[in-house]
Amino acid sequence: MSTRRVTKQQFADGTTIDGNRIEVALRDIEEIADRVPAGLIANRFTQTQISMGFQPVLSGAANWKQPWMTFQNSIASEAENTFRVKGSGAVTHANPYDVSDWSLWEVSLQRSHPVILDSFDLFMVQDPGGSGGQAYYMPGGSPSPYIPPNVRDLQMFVLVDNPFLPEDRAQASMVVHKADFDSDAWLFTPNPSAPVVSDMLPPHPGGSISGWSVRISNLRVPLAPYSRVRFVIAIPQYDSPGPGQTNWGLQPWRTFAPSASVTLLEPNTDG
Amino acid sequence: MAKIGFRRLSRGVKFLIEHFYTQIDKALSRFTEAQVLPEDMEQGYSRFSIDFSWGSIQTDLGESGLGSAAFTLPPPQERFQPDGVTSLYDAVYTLESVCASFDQRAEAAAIEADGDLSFDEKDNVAIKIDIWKRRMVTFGGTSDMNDASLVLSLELPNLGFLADKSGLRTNPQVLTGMSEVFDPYSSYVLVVTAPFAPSSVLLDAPNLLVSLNFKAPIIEVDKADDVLHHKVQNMPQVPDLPAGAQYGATYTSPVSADTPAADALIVADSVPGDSGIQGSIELVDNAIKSGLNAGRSMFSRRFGAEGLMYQAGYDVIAVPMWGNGWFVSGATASGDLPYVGIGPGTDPTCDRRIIPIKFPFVVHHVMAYYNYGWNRVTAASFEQQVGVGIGTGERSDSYSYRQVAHATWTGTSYGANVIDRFTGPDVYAAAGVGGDILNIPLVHDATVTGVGYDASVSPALADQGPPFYVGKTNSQDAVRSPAANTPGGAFVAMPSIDGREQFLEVRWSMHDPVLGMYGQAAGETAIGRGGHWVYIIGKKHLC
Repeated sequence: MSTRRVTKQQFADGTTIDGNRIEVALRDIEEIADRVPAGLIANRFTQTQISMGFQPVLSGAANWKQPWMTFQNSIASEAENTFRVKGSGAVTHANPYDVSDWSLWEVSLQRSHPVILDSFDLFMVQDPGGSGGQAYYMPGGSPSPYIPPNVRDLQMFVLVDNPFLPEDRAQASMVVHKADFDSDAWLFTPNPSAPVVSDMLPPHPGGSISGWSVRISNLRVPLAPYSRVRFVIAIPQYDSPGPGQTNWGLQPWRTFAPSASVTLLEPNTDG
Repeated sequence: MAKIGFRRLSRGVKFLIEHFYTQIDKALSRFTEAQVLPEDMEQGYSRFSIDFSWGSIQTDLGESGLGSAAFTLPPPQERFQPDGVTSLYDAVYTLESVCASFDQRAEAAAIEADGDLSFDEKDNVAIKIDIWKRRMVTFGGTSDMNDASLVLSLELPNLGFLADKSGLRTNPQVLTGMSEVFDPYSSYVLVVTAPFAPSSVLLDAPNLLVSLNFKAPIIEVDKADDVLHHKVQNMPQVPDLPAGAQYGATYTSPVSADTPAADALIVADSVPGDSGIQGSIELVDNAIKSGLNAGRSMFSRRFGAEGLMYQAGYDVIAVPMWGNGWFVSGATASGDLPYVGIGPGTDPTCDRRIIPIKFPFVVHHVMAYYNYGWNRVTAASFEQQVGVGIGTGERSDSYSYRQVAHATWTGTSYGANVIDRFTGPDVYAAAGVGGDILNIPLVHDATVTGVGYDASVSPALADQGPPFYVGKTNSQDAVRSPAANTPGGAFVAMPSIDGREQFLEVRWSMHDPVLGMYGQAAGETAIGRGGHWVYIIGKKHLC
């Protein structure tokens, strides 16, 4: 046996045990007990959850697309980053060239201390049961009960800017890229006709919940202090008739009410 | 806690049991029984941030775009002073840094209202962040913002947004070194103006995020069976722990050294009845070498016998509601509201946010900020409701909810829940900053209440339930402490959800069956620019 953390002093029968060494050992223990080092706290992080989301405008302002911004900057002659997010071409659905453009919901943040990225979760809520006749649903979904169509063209990204060329998006580090997945695997519920067992107040006029819940959890990605992190959700836009446009319609940003959540684990700090 | 205070072994002093074994037991007691307090930790503070996320902040012609949010930071219920009189136990929240960002489409350009890049208007890109401190109406303050004080004003200058690809744009940007202490019994008004106001083009700051990063001392965890700390609802039972620790109380596994007789020979190695010098030090080493346990896992489990007395951190989750360009005032609406039907829109409408449950959280307060600019809606038929619930059934075929907090108010009864209200200050007059902070009471049994605001201001403010536990568990911990489902109702078991919690849902509904949502009086605002906010305030745990 030996001591590993509290002191370097080791004692054994048959060797000298002098007062000076015992004093050193006790002082080492005292220093730790009176000011426990951060590294000796096994659980020294707490979560921080950043809640984001909005209710899309449905019809009043016909072109109100905010906060979805277009993916390609090449249309502007002065633009330097032709494509804002690298890797979006990884989608292998039926015909990726049908996608006219991607619409991005991008939120970025920076912390002055190290953090651990735990989760990036997206809830795309659809609820076509509104009595007012205006609601969030995809044209390609099945009616009565509504279930959204299975699509493979939804993408989620977490990117960290390059520390030396932070404004060059081609140099960014791709930390997370979720793409090319069947959305049917992430249905909020496959049985939207089932009534809620016990609802909460206030009642939601949309009726039964539907849509997708895409969770990217347990990431445990360490982020260095001052990292510039970008959380991006991409939905496709199809200008030409075809299966994609049938599913999403001409204004895909109006087909769901999004909630997104970023969970960080932040270390304790000193006073 | 006092320092451990070892005795010194001066030369020539006879070496006694007290010189060693008694001291070792002091250290063992601190690590395995009495537990370590935050002041005896190198890092005794936890971090929390209030993150304000706006979908879109747009300019009007000649005016800056504007987003606002008012909030307060009430301490956890066991430390809360209903009359707002400060005490020795008041929490101290220190603002350390502020982060701001928006989606600039990766270019040194402004974003026009339709989302296009505008290199011509890039000189107008800038952000200004102001935080005002108010004495709340509940505690005797006035609604006049001229009585407020500006505690923080940050300008993120235009030059920071203009660098080309080889340079550095300060977007996102974190500004450090604030060290501004926030008062738990004041309210704060955050006002963000962005971008500056050109005269001919509408600009936008899409996906604006402002994070206020705080630190606060680590605090005690909640215990469901402790009268002093109030009865926590929905706390999972951990049946394999000692009875006294099954509902949240910390538990320890005390270790002490075997002390020899006073005149026994001092030895290094352990022998029966004597841990020895080396053996005693090893006991201390064993107690800490894997780290002191504290807090909760994501499934609400302990990590083992606990070495820290305080294992929780203060936390605020700011939830944006109706915050994406909606401006519903009088008959004016930037886009038709969902669900309300054709004008004047007499069906109810509702916005909801979903927040996944990751690590356990205990809700102590829920607050709402009703952002109406200059004038709130006064019609008696105009009803608003805010609710927070726990949901289950995600990616499943049967879903259910349990209520955590709920309030209803109308254009005439709104005052019952208000803890603060203000309009102005005049520097933002053109766009209008103003609103109410409302207390949304937690659910509770009629006979078991929590600690609310002072009833002398409004009886409704004292209507507060005990804290409410929100966390996942494995099956063996599915049994929960009693929880109600409405404020002032009764404890009710809900087997459809108890032990299966997956997410928090926040709803904000509005309904005027008489006048309709677009039938309000001119100038009366149902949704101000930047939308409303709901704050879920409580404790998170070390993990």
